[in-house]
Amino acid sequence: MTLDLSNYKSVQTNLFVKMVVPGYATLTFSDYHKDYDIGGVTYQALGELLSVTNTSDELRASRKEITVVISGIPTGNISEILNNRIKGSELIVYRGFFDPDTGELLPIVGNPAGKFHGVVSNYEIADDLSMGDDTGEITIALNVTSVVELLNNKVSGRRTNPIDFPNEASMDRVSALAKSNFNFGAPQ
Amino acid sequence: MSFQYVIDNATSISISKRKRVAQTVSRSGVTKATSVGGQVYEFRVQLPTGPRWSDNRRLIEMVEALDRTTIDSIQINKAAHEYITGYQGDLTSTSGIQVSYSSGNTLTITSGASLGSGYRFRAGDYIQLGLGSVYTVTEDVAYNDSTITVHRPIRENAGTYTLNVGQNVTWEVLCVEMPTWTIFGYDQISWSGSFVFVESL
Repeated sequence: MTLDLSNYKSVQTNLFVKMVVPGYATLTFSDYHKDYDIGGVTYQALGELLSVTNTSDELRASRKEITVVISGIPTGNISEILNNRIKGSELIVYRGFFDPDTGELLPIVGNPAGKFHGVVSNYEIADDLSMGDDTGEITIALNVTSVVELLNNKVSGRRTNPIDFPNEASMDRVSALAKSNFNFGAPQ
Repeated sequence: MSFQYVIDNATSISISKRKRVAQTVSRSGVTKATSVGGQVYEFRVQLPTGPRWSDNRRLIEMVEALDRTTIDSIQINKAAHEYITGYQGDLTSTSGIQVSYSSGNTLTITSGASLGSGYRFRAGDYIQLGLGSVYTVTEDVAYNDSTITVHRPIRENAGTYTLNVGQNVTWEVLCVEMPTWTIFGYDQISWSGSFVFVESL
């Protein structure tokens, strides 16, 4: 849905990330300054969500990938990543437009809007410590592949493996007959 | 006294609390701005060069013990700093002022702060919601006005709070840049740069 922002000279944007981890929980976090409810779901506030890489909008559905970077706050993040089936989790990013002075959601139809919908394809826990500079950072980066990319992974053609057709016996003797010699027309 | 030592003995203090903003300028000169919020207090504080090491080493040790990992409280409440954070309105007492918050960046005075003329608050006054976040007033609040507009969206939950005002406000901060000290000449200290404290949220 297209949002009409033409009446606003300035806006505040914040991202809201919802990750559905199979067999575990739905994790929700944002870079908004405090916890915020969207559709009855509370998104945890500033701190956890460090960045979401840029995306571009195109008329044609195309393959895209984004990286969502979160920090170790709360520390439960790392165990959530390591101990659960993060790869394959559905991840949806919403973008909300707010009044930059009051921080309240702008009354526009469709706000907040969907920004990205994909599946976590990989994750990286980075523990970078620069001893010389005496600086470091610990982050969790989630690589998220768009659903369009997943559709491109479809199996082309028709599957013919026996496992796919357990009750079909018409081809069972093909392997035994392959490269066999037949004396067509010979007396028995 | 720990980080408070740095504040109390500063030779310069810079306070930043602006939004994080991206701006776009079109070919025709139309400018649009996008903010991602923020407006977190950042203090850049410089200590003077020359104080006696022997007089300050005990206090410096307390500062270094906190390092860049421990949150500490600071106030700009020294009598000599009254001109920086002191209350500017006309109330004779700023204790016991109650405000209510529902949404946005405004508060409503519900009790206290009674005044017959003048201003309850002036733009630039510092206020704190109980033991919560610190805000600055951005518009003068006349004696008959009960709405306080502050510099950022209120972080606290909707409810009623008692205000701390002016030099009574307290920031919880984390030091993100801590300069190193050097002893030079005889018994004198110099610093390699400024301390940078960021509001811990």
